[in-house]
Amino acid sequence: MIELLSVSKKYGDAFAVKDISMVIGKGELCVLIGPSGCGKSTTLKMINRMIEPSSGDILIDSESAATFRPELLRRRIGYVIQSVGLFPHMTVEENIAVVPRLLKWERSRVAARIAELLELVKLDPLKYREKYPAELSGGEAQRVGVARALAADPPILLMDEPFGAIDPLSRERLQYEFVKIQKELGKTVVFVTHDIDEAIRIADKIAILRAGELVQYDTPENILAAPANKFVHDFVGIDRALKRLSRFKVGKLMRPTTSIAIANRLTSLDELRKKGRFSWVTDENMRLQGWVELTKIATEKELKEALTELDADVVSAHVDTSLKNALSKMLEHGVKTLAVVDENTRLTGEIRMEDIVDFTDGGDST
Amino acid sequence: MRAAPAGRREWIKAALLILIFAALISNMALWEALLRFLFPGEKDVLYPQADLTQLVGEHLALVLISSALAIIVGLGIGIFVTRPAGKDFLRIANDLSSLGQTFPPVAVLALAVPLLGFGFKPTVTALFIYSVLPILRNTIAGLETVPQDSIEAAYGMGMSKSQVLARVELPLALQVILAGIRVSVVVNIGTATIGVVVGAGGLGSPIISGLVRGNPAFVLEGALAAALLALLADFLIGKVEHSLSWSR
Repeated sequence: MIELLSVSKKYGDAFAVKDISMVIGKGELCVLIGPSGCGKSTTLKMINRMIEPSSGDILIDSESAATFRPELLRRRIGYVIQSVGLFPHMTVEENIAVVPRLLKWERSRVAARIAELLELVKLDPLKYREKYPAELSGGEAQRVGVARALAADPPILLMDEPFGAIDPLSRERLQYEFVKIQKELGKTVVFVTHDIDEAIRIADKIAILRAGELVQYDTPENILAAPANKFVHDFVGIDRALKRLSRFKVGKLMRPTTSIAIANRLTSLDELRKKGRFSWVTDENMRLQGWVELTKIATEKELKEALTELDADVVSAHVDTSLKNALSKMLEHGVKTLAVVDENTRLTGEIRMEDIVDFTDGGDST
Repeated sequence: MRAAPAGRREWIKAALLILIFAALISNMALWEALLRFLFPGEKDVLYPQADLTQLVGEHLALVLISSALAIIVGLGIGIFVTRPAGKDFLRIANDLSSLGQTFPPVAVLALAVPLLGFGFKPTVTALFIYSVLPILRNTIAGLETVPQDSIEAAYGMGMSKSQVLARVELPLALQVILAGIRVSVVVNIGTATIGVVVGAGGLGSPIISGLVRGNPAFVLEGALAAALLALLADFLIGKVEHSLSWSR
């Protein structure tokens, strides 16, 4: 856990960071975000004392950071910077081994750890161990950067725009993989970025800074639902309702649904008609086949004729599809309801546009 | 740092070259034959006061002592002025190291004599002052080209100041620093020939003697030996430079 208590940093008479107080819980991924010069990097660097605060205190697991020798403090806190900062004269393994060696680990333990970390960041140890940073792509280099920061298994990671210089496609993959690793290892992460989409994608909590002051500190869902002021409102963008939907999964709004098995007798047709005009159609294993308009059928023969077939891989959602993507699919295919299927395309429920709209309204009013 | 696969062969080559040089220098009969062939009109073709082995020995003493001092002082000052504590002196050091190159070594020697007298010491002093400058300049340049983010990362990972210097800054600056040392030593071997005018001996002796007596054979004897020594030094330091460099 990291606690910032009225932390300020002054250069001359100007405040770079002004009276920031916040608590970052253990295992949380906290994103510091704001426009250039808002003090986000300064705040980050005060945590490992690359910059000394002018006033206030920073507690790490209830102990003041100021009581440690900076070098010893930093060996317990992983640090990743935008330019990666891999040492060009050291191989990948030597780069990763830097902190373990500072901590005087045994040689065999260091070697085992290097292999483990390279596997973790999805780089083949045999292929990458001996490479020099100049031989790596931007994405590979940043993977090594993350592995290096994790080398001595520090409970806290500080990351200063780590994926900023990477192409958008690799960046998204890195973000996804990083969040997975972070959750698996339970690391507390403070992450600086200026990219609001990145923040919304990865953050447990977002701290929005402006001119050295903390403007709003909350979950992404709450910030998007209720920006504290016009600055935050503008900063998160006009599509904040959509961005907010990206934070929720279809499972949250999924309804149970009814279906007709294509081979079954239509005994309960009248029952079904009472519930609505349409019904999903599945095979005998509940795999989604399509839908029918119930008013058009009376016999088994008519069911097959009236069936509108659906490709379940394309026109359906999963419980862990984001609401934003579900809505996007509805718009793309011109439908107001999507079937929700499991990984074997078995029907598990449905998601309706009206529910998403209601959910968005409800969120905005809170 | 990985040793090149051909590393051992390179060092055998270097040792062989040293042996060839030593054999050439100690074989006075060969020199006499060569110089007599080139200058058939001269009565004496070999400098009579000392043979080449002795002259090279004197010369090496001048060069090794002055260069060793220059490396220690040049590196030391270069490191100091690039630290936060010494950054006030960075400009002076930079200016001095450029200015010094425009100063002829003979003038340095002429200034050293009234202070230190004749002989070995003033020569070493003059050579030292002259050779420290390229080393200082390259040390500063090398340390200043170390990527700032490497230094930030090093501190951020918990290295102390001395660890950052030893494990990150110096290794990254090494190539540039060694290039400075190479230039300095090679120039020093040439410059050291003027030591003879204040009585320090060395390979300048046959050159000056030959000039005074109008005997080009003496001049060539000293100049050729000095040139061979300079080439050998250049090759050897180049080898060290190559074996310690990390970029391929």
